Amino acid sequence: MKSGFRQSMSWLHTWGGLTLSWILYFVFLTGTLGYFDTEIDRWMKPELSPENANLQQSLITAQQRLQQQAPGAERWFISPPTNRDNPHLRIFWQTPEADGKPGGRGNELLNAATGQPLTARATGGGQTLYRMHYALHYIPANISYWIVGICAMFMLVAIISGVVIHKKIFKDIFTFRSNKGQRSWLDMHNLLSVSALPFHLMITYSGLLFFVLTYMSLIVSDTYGFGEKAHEQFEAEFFSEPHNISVGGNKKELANLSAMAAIAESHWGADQVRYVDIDHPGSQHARVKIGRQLDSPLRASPELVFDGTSGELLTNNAAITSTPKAIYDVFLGLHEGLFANTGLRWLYFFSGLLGTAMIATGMVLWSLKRRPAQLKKVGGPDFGYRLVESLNLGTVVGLPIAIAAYFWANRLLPVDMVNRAQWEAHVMFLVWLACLLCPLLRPVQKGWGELMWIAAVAYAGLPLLNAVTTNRSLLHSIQQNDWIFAGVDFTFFSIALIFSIAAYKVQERTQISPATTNSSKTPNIATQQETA
Amino acid sequence: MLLTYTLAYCSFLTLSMAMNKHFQQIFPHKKLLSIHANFLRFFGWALLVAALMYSSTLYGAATAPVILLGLLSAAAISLALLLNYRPKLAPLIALVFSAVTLWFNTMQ
Repeated sequence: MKSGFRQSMSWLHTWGGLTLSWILYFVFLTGTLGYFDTEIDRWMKPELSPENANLQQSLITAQQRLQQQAPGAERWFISPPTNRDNPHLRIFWQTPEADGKPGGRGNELLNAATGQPLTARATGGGQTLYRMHYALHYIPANISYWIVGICAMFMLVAIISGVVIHKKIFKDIFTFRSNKGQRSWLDMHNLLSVSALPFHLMITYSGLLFFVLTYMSLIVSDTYGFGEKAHEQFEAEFFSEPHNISVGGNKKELANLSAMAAIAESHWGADQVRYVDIDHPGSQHARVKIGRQLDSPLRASPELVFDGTSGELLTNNAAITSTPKAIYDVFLGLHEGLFANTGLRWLYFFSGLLGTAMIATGMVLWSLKRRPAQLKKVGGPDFGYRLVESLNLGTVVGLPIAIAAYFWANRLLPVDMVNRAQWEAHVMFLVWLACLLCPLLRPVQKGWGELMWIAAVAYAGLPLLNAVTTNRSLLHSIQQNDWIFAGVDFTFFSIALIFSIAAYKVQERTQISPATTNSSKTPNIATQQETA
Repeated sequence: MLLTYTLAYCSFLTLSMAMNKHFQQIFPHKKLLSIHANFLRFFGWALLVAALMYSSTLYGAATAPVILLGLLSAAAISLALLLNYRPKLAPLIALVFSAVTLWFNTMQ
């Protein structure tokens, strides 16, 4: 470590940033895709056509089906297709404990018009990708939370130390100078970091907050004491969840749900019902809670509570129950962006990509800075340096290729395959592994351009593959005004375009630079030639 | 969202033009006078406040900052890239965006 505050911060930024950058890149990229998890879900289940049924009809269908499937349940939950995160009618039920046996759970996707269960290919969908960004894969979730938490802490340290070492953070805010070698990479790294600094800080800090009770569980114990009971008391007070008292009571039929939903809509306006949650359906003590769509960063819905048998409105629960809970909910809500409409969702997606690119440019900078000195070494570059270089290539370009492979697997794996959804993820990680190993076969410098071409082809092929293997080609989607399907296809084409431009640029550069990279005394020749 | 982006972009453009090096990128043969720089800086900040106020009325005080920060990131990136690759286009695009937004808003 070096002396001086800024120098030591610089050291911290460089090495702290590098150490976990590969996992952070993975977390940022899969998390960014998570903003469009529902859209990806829909693309990966091409058998399901868009749902057009309205709320009333959906609730009638759901109520009938739940009556058939789970008449004695202690809880029903209905997510109508008006809920943006569930584009199809989804029902869920939970049966009570009986004779010492734990209660069962079940859920179904329904066609809201016919009431028939929807069947689609087995797929991990966007949810598996989204889950990876905090629970990783192949590793038990409770270990993954810690790994991701430590990575997020490193990220936070890298962001703050980055602000400290950036001397001209305001003066250089609009500065990017191309064709200046390492200088350009630093400019780009700064531009990506500073222009979306509020997002980077928010997403990292709130990411830590999600598992704050895991990371700092002793804080709860300090006030509430140890043991399961203390924890339950804390949960009940903080999340204001009522204790589950099993209500016996006489049997009585549940009132019409759509009538209650109509009352909710008269309070909130059309299309504002996010969910219908029924406690003890079929009992005289049945309660129906109807929650509102999220329309602000506060990640909690106001609820209307109805008497389940008479359909009478009992109470109006506010979304905010306590100030600490509200602050927590706002951070979590900002992170997830569930309240975001399409425009804001694209901004979230875009900001996430900026963060991903920030990490990638940081990784490239690390190796670029050390390259001249490493090349001068007798016997070639160190093992450590070559390892970082290879990991950078295999991750920065390899992971996007692996994600493309995940989508390819969704279309190509046989529909009746055993463990199909798991194999989609296996394909993704196998391809990533192959990309990580590719520097064993090819020189890293050439590998960048080649892998980028592979990525471009892999993404450009996806809409074509979709057109061949399903009846929902891009043309068809546009004709049907299905902008979710068309949007995913267009996004694949755009990614392919970006990768091919990048590949072209990289290859143009590596064709010129061998002369210069060998003699580090004249590092400016390459840039002079390019500008000429 | 289009008008908010236009305000954000114009704000950043004027703020960047108040800095000598960016002013020189756009007008290589002119000199930036300090009185003009002060005026540009004031105008830039005023546009930024206008963007915040306008988006607040449109999206509410809770959501507007989230949207505005996202749009500011986009504006900063697009401006920085333009200043490097096509500096002359930077003010032109501000005019085009303003015109389109104006036309769009009067149509509604």
